[in-house]
Amino acid sequence: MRIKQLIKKADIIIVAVILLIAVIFIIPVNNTGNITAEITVDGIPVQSIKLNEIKEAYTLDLGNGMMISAEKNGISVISSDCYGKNCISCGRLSEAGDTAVCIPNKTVIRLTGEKKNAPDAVTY
Amino acid sequence: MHFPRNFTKITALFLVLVTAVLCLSGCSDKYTVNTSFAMGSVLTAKIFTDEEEKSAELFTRLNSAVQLAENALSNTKEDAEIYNLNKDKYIYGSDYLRNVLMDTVMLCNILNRKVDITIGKVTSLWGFNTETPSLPSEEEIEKHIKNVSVEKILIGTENAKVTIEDDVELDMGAVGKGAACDAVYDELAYSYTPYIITLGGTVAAYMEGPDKGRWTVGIRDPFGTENDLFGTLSLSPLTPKNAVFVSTSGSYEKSFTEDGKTYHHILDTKTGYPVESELVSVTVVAHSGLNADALSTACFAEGLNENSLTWLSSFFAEAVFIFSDKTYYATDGLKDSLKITADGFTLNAYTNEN
Repeated sequence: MRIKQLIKKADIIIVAVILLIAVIFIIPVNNTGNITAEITVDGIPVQSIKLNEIKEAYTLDLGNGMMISAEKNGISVISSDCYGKNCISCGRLSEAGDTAVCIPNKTVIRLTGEKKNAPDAVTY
Repeated sequence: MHFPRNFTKITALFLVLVTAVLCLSGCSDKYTVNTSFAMGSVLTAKIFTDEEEKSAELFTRLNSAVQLAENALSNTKEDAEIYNLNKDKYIYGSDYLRNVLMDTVMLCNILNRKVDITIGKVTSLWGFNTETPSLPSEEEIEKHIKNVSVEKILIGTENAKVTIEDDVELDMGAVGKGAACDAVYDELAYSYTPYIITLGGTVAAYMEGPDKGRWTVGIRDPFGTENDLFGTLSLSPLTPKNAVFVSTSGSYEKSFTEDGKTYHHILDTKTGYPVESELVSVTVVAHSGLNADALSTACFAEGLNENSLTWLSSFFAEAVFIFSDKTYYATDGLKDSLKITADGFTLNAYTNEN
């Protein structure tokens, strides 16, 4: 048999190295822990918070009547001077694609990051 | 038997290529998201292109198309055409306004006036678009609901004059967002760049989507919070526009509770009160935004029966009906594209009976 001639030691090393490189490339794509909260007011970005990097929970005054609570891997609207309070009822956002909107204050909080099977859009 | 000496090199080259292809396929489908506020709701647009300049240009054009629609169709924004039409009872309307009105009046008639844009005076009484919606008096509703009729809109054929009778006002709420999605479609029809937009829950997607040419559109769970999904639709663009439009009418969207009773915003065009229905939402997939919006409202008001199913099939549209007992019905065309992700939903009995 020439099988030993077919697969040389160098082949195995190369396969291992390339698989390692492939894994390094693939991992960040499927990393669900890497979520950023993008906050916009009237379409203008005002804050971008990396949720997995938060060590200690804190509150944030957006200066437009809205208070935000940011913690490790989660963010929520805790108070707002708007009338519907829909933004507060959105609750704690934790997954990529989660969104809280305050129409009166023209504020959008959207979590971005890779998520499997996240829809391109949502009808409601 | 002889193997080439450079077999190792060939293996390496092959694996490098495979890795490159894998990485590239994982890195494609780049898009940029843009969020703004229009027509009293959120406009989210995703444009699928690597070219930054192009996506910025398309965002600008897309936003201005929605502005154009808002400036024509709003009944609250001063200087909007419908606002002035309601005030003065006539207007020399833009081509866009007249086209939307003509299409809408025809739709209202086909849909047995389950949607009627002359209901404006009654919707103002309820105030669903204000800070304080409240239950109007019976007399007030009675007084205005009997006047509701799309016959009272006259669209000039020889000139641009649009007239409405004194006793009605227009409210484009049921179709305005869909009409704005159509305006976006028209503006970007020759951009040949895939995009998906959501305007207050009405979705328009152009060209092929990122999932094997399909777009994944989530349907909100009527029993959950804003970020919960009932399921997803996997949709291909429809001919001839190479686009697909999705709209949902739900009783959970805008509502208020007074004296222990909850009132939602979809009004019965005969009684002037919220439609009494076992439905909680109807999602429609159609060939235009206007059709999707009008059909979802009309199907909600009509309920799941032969009439609503006939409307859907005559517009080559598909729908998902969700009921208050957590049952659902999907038309045949959605059998393969609807995936239910929420727990506890079962098929509605209508599925087996018909």
